[in-house]
Formats: sequence, C-alpha cells, structure tokens
Amino acid sequence: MSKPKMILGMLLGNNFGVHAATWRMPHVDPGAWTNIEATIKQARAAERGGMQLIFLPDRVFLHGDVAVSPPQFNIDPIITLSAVAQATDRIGLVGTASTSFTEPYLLARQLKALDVFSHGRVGWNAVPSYEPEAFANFGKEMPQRENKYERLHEVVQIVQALWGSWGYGAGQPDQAGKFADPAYIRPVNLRGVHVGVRGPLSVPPSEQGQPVVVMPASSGYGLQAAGMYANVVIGMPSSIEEGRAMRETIRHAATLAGRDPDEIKLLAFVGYTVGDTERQALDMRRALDDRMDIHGPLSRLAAYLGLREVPSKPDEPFTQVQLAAMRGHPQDPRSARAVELAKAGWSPRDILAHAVFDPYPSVVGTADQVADHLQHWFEAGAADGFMVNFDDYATGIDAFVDRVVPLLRERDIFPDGYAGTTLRDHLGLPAQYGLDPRIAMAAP
Amino acid sequence: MATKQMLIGLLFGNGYGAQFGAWRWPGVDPAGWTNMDLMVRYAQMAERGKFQFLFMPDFQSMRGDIGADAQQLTMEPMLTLAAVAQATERIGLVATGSTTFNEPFNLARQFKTLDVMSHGRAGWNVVPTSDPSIAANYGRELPPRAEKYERLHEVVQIVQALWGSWGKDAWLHDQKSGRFADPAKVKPVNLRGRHVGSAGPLVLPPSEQGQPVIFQAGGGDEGEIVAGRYASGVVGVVFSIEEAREQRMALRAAAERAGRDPDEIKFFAGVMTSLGQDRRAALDRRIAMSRDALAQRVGYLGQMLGLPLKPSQLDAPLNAEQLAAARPSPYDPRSNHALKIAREGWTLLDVLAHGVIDYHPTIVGPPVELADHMQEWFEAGAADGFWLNPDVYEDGLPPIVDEVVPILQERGLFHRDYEGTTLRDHLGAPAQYGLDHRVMG
Repeated sequence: MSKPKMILGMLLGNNFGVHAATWRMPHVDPGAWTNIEATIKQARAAERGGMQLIFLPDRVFLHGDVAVSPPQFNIDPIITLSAVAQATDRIGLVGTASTSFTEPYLLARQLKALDVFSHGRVGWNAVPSYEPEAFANFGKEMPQRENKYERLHEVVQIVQALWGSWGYGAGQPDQAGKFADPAYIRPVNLRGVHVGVRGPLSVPPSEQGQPVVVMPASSGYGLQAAGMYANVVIGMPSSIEEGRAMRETIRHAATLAGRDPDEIKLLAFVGYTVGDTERQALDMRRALDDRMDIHGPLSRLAAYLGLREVPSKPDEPFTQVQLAAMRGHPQDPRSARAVELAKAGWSPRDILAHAVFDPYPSVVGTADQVADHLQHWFEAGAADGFMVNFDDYATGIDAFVDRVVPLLRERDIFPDGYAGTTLRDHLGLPAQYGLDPRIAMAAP
Repeated sequence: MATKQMLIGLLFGNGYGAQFGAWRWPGVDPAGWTNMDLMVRYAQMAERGKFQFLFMPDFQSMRGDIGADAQQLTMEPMLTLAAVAQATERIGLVATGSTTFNEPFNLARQFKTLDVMSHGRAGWNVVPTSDPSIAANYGRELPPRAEKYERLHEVVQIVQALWGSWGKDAWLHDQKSGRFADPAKVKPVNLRGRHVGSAGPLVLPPSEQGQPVIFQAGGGDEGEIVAGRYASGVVGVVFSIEEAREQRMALRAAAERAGRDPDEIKFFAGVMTSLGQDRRAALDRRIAMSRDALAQRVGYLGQMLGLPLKPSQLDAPLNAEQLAAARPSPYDPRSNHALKIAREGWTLLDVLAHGVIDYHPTIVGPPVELADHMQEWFEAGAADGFWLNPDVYEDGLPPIVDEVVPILQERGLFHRDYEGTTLRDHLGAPAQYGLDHRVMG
C-alpha cells in the first residue's frame, strides 16, 4: 500500500486574504470583495496545485470592524460556489450553511443540486449558529445550546434522507422508456420537534451520490454530531500534541456512533506565506502589518513574553536584559514560539512578522520551511490534512502551489494529481447515499 | 427613447423545453436537467437574441408522472442563474422566490448576491406558495390566503429594507486612508411584523442597479396589489388581446394607486411556440412531440366546446352536427380560440396540436406567425412585451433568435442591441435602493 497522503484545503472568503490590511496593498483591487472573478481565479489556482477542496466559512451577520477592514466572510457561500463550479473541474467545493434558520428542504435542494451541477464535488459545512446577532437577523430568540443541536440533528437527518429519496434504482432518463422509475423515488415523511418534511426531493444522485458532510471541531453535542455525520472536521489545534488529541477524539466519536474511524478526517488550520528566503517572506508580512497600528500588537507581544514594558525599539533585537527577564507562558505554544524567536535575535517587528499571533500555527518563510511544517505535523499524526489560510490571495496561493506542493509531492506525502473526479474520491471516502444506516434515526 | 419597442423574456430552466415530451425530442440531451453547460448555452443564445431577461418559475415539490416526463421546472433557480451569470453579460436573470416558507434574510442575501455578481441583472419574482404538496415539504399546511399575503408584504418590505441597509455610499474602499467603509452608513433595519422580522444590516454593497428588480405573477386581486406596490415586471397568463389589455390597464392603475408611475410596471404576456416551416410542419412537430399528452385532452376539449368528444374521433374533424351544436365554455378563456380552430376543419388531433389547451396562447407555424402575433398584441396595447415558452430549447430557440427577432427588429418593434447594462435599464425601471418611499411613506 502506498504511503498515506495529506489533504489540503484552502479557505476563501472576502477575496483579499485573511490579513485585515491586504485590501490596502497597491497590487490589490480594493473592489475585489464583491468580484466573483477574483474568487474564481483563487479557486483555479488551488486546483492547479491539486488541492482537494476550497472552503467558505460563513457568518450571517456583520462581523468585524468595517470602518477599517472588509468583512472576513464571503458575500454568500452557496451562490459563489455555483459560479466557481462552472469555472473549475475537480476541486472540491465546501460551503457553510447554518442549520438554524433555513428549512431543510431548501438546504437539501441547493446543496444536492450544486453537487449534481458540479459533478459530485460539494461538501456541506453543517453548523448551528450560536450568536445573538445571527438570530436577530431572522427575528428569532436564541435557543438553549441543547436545542440548537436538537435542531441540527433533525436538519441533518432530514437533509440526508431527502438526498436519498431519489434512489439509484430510478435510473437514467431513457428517451425510449421512462424518465425515471417512480418506484425508487419516495417520500421521506420525517417530522421532529423543529422541522419536518414529506419529500421526495427531485434531484437525482450526483457522481458522488450526495454532498460530503463537514463540521467544525467541537466538544459535547458538537463532537457527538460530528461523530455521527461528518467525514471532515475542521479544527484549530495549536500544537502537534493538541492535533493528535483532537484527531483521536473525533475518531473515537465516530467509533461510538458505529462508523469506521478512517471515515472522519481532521483538517487543521494553518497559515503560510512563502518567500524565496525567510527574509523576503517576513518582508511580505511586514508590508501588511505596517499598514496597521503596531501599538496593540506590540503590547500583546510584551504580554506574551512576560515583559512589563512594551518594547520601545520595535526594529532592534531585544537587549540581554530584556531577554533575561522574559517569561513565556509554558502552556501557550504561541508564547513559547515568541520567546524562541526573541532569543534567536529577531526584532519585535520581525517576531510579529512571523505571524506568532495568528490564531493557528503559521509559517512565514521558505517553501522548505513550510513543507517541513506540513510534513512534521502530518507524519506525527496531528491531522489528516490542513486548511490553509493565506494573508494575500493575490500572491500567496500561487507561491504555495508553485513551490510547496512540488516539495510535498517529492516527499511522497501529497498526491501527484487528482486520481478521481469527486470530493469523495479526493478524500478517500466510502460511498454513502441517503441516511447512514448505521446511525440511529432518533435524535440523541 | 424613440418609438416604443417591445420587451422579450424567455422561460428558462429545465434544460429541455416547455412542452411535455421535450426531453424525448431527437437532438435533446435526455439528462439535460442536470447539465449546466446546456443551460449556459441556451442563455447565451437568448442573449444573442437580445432578450431582456431569463425568467425562472419554481415549484418546490415533485409533481406529475416522473415515469412519463421530466419535471417541468428547474432543479434549482438561484444556482442556475449564478452559473449563467458567469457566461453572459447583459441578459437579466429573474428567479422566483416564494415568500411563504422562506426567511426574508436568506432571500435578501441570495438575491442581492446574484445581483452584485451579475453586475446588476437580477430580478426576484415575488409569489406566495399555493400548493399543499409544497407546504408538506416544509412539514406544514398552507396558511389561509389572507395570512399568506400578509406575510408576503412583510417579507418584501424587510427584504427591500435589508437591501438598502448597506448605504449607497457606504463602501469607501479607500486604500490610502485605510477607510474600508463608513460605519455610519451601514445600519440595522430592526423590522418586525406578525410573521417575520430581521435586525440587519445585510452585508452587501449596491450592485450596478442598486438592488434586484421585483417581478410578480398571478394572485388575483391580492396579486394585483403586490404588483402595484413593488413590481417592475409582471408575467401573465392571458388568452386574448382583450383579456391582456384589461390586465395591463389594471396593473397600471394599481401602480398609480400605490403612488408610482404607471409606466414603471411592464406587463408580459406568455406565448408558447412550436415553430416549423409552415403550419403543417409545425403541427406534425407538435404531434410527434406530445401525441399521447394531446390525445388525453380530447375529453376536456369537448367540455370547452360543449360537446361529448371521444378519443375515437381524434383523426376526424367535427362533423356538421357537432359544428352546429358547439358553444364555447364561459369557464375557460381558451374556448373561443379552440372553437375557431375547430371550425377551420382540422382533425381533433390537429386542433389539439394547435395548442388550444396550453398554458398560454401557442404559435404553431412558421416564425413569421410568432412575429405577427407579438406585433398584433403589442400594437393593441395588450402587453409591454412577451415571455416566450419554446417547446424545445435545442432546436426551438434558434429559429426564434435567428428568424423571429430579425423580423421584429426590421419592423422597428424590437431593439437591435441592449441600450444599458442592467435589468433596471432593460425594463426602464426607475432607480431604487432600499424601500420605495413613494409606496411606504
């Protein structure tokens, strides 16, 4: 059996990148936020690199400070993915759609129709909303946490049942015979406390049957749900140890639900900026950081280093006195990393440029450094793959695809190209159609 | 603008065509309803013909005999138009979105995203749900009519308010100063009715036309009020010039009552087409396509004519006795036309193949007949334009684009090219962003 290969996904959103200042760069079109051509270009670049999927997270409310930076999320994930599907051939298309507000019939229909139109490449990031602002946009009160998951179970089960309601037995349209065999197209007749559906759904199987279910890493009810339904879990472990633990936890949750643990893959959030040299990469990040006020990040850096005073000379390495006084927080990997960089002689500004405060592990450096990071995490079993974030899509994706992907392939830890055509193929998942017969029908 | 010209829209969506049996027609891809490349090609054809818009009805339930025929309507309208938007530049993209089981925030977001993505070409056909089988797909029963329309008005108003909640000039994207947007111009709407509510704001800047255009269809008196208040386009089902003109005048009056200019509301009469070299060729096409479906209508044809007609008479015309006894039914507006055709001596099958029992007036004949029909209706003030329902897109749309449109253009009745870039431009609809304050106060 050949060596296991990692899964690489790419996060997309506002068409600029995840750094709040990217929109201000001279080479960036400030109007890109609403420009579908930009999203298409980014998706195609990822496809060129053989990345298995793109991913659109979502929030259904205004998030962040629009006075100085664009909203982080895409204008609408599903509509955007329909346009991207037309412009791509192989790459998986994972979109977020909340289970809290939309009727399951409509969710089932849009997701499976997109799966059919894209020839079997869709994934559904099924999440309950949890913010008061989200509920306010639908004129609803926020339910108790358990009720959110109660509704999520009902919605996911109804959606999957609807997906399976047009059975494979219905066949293909035969101009000399039937359009479809009605004996294999049946109502689902499901009703819970929150939602109900008769069905059937008039959408036939896609090339992968039906969309893949994706969920965020969570605990408690969320973990249980992921164990029952998800083939992909997207998480944000901050260390290899945390990743390994997270991976074991979700595999265990899948086993508890009666599934094969190999069917559930953990993708860990990471961030990469690739340069010809480490210096060049750092300068790319600094060009972004410099467009923002450095005072806040410097104060934060001082706190992470256990220093009482904010560094007054951001472009000079720390003094011996300061280095001696440094106390990192032992539990926080980012703090340890900051101390390590300080002791290696980097200036405060350059330490920040290493992206130490990004919410996920980041590498700002050479292609080799990035490939090493990926290989290290993957081979340690910290994740089945990675969800890659780029500060600046305009420059970051191509650099990753052109320089890091070949190294991963050389090291035999990333596939040479798309062997199959569907998202299920790319993720090495078994077939599933309709409800998973191994999962109990009743909500827990 | 010089002489007034007609507007043309195209029924769009199931990948086959408007007639039963379209999916079986030679040259048609039997899996067409799953084939987005096909939808794109037909949309591009319509754009070549300079049609002002594509129109997508919707029905969120399976219906009819799936063994015998494809579903009449699209698998999913928003995804289809989002894909088509990429491959077209000018043609309007109008999708139906029901107000009965859908959340206003979701409608607002998806329609405005389509609008922004297409550079100002989106339209929302506002209708309530009327079929209990659809309600069952939401685990509910149909609400009573009054309640449905109450919710509809709330939904439209909240959607329009959400569209305007990101102010027209809010998006600054000023790279030098670092000001992305003016937060003072991005405001919640904080609306709540009896049925629905939303805080907002909706995070989407204006498109090139500000926000989607509203369409409306059907609904009797309540529908007329909806159209009068909000719609720039109304698609209708009318079977005579008189009926159409009456509806058009009523809509214009409704718009005026709501505080708008009657010229803002454009009425589109539906037309089905089965085109051929001549009448006989077109009839044969229609019969080849839908013989069984046509034959099943003999009984109903009899009801329309006040006669007991049987399938055994399919290949014969009405005899003298039947002709003398025939009376058009007052209950079906298509009856007069059916009797007229029957009196011409056609066999009953041929009478049915004329499309006398179709969803719209049907042109079964050479392309010039379609042009003549549209000219007659347009010049009589029966409609501002037409929404065309070709029997089969694959070989039924090209003659419309390549032969009918040039005739209309030559006669000065249809434009030779798009004058503007947005759907609002194509319809001559006024600028609007957010709620219409003439209507809402």
